[in-house]
Amino acid sequence: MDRAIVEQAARGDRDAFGALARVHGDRLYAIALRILHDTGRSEDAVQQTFVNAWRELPRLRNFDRFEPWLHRILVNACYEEARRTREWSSHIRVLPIDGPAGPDEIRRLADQDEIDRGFRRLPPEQRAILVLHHYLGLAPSEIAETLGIPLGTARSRLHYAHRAMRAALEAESRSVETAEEVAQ
Amino acid sequence: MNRRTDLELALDRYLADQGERLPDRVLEDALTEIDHTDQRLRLALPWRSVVMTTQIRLGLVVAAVIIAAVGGIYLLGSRGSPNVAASPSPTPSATQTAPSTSPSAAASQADGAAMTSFTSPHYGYSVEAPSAYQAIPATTDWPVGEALGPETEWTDRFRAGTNFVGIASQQLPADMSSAAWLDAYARSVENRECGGPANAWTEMTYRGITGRTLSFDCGGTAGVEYAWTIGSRGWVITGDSTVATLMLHALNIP
Repeated sequence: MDRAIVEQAARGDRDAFGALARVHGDRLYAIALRILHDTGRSEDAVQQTFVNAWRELPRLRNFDRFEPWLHRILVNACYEEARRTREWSSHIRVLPIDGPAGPDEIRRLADQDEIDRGFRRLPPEQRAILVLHHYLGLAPSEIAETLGIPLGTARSRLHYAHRAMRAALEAESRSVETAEEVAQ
Repeated sequence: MNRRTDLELALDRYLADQGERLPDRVLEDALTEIDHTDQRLRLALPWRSVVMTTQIRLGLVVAAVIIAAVGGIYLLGSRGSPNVAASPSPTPSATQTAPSTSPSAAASQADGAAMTSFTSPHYGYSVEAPSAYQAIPATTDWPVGEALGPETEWTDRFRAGTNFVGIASQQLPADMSSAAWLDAYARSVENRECGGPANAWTEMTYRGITGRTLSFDCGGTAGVEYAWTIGSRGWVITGDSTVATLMLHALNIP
């Protein structure tokens, strides 16, 4: 359905591009919100995505790949937003911890607030991988295509993102325990 | 076999759709900005979209063999050479000098009939390319902020069907460091259909020069970018992974 409109937009038809932006805007915004966790920056990332997509669209060779290409531009725009604020890198260092989930972890996973806090500890690159996989439901091969990275890299990044998330939950748990000890 | 872990299930729930709506003003602002934004020139020729010919396949097999041979010769040659290790800073200052066991010469010796020499009239370097590749020299300077592509006239293009390798060089803008130039180039290719994120580049060292490289997928085919600076000039080789790597090893910069 998009293809004819994408072709029109690629030939410089701004109305056609506006129609595409309306179709894809909500989804792009939802992705950006999950990566950036900030409405203002997510809005900026989506706006920049539309501008970049408009500028580059004539160079898109396969119009059927418009949506994954748009997602790639959005993810890059989110990285740029994150770079601009530099909030992430200085925030926290996540210690890698591997291994199977124990009973305690299962208990913690029931707590969505804890998941939220753990997720916020991740750098944007790992958030993006998790969002593509868990929100968009993309398989590693589709993540590779979307981000333009080799399949092996996509698999390994997904693995490390899950591992980092587990480590973030551990770190979150430790910081809560420390706070409780201080309070006592 | 495909059982999802508790963590994965928790992430499914946490990241599930919540019906978010993009505010109308964001869309309106974007469309207003687009009204004042020009589109880039169209590239009519796809990088990779048709089946490779037998001749090209054979050429790539030969190229792969040469890479293995050249790589082995070069590694052996470099064992006795001082200082070819990576430096911590991506800002090499030495000018390029060809090692005594030139990979370019080795490539010719390995299979002279399969390779053709090319000297860039615009950028002055020389390189050897598989003979099946037609060279189309650059005719204009490479503008700052632009990526290389199969139809960009600032690129020395080597094409065989839709197979493509491009080489170009650029004077670094005044007061721009090597690292900043490499960052800027990475950003220029991140939204290209055949490209990858700016943060996916990794450091590489070649003949004592530190630069950066990016591997990416291009419609199911491996693509690569090599970018580095020598003095105040930035250099890039991009294209199909096998041939671009071969040509990097056969590159001679005066």
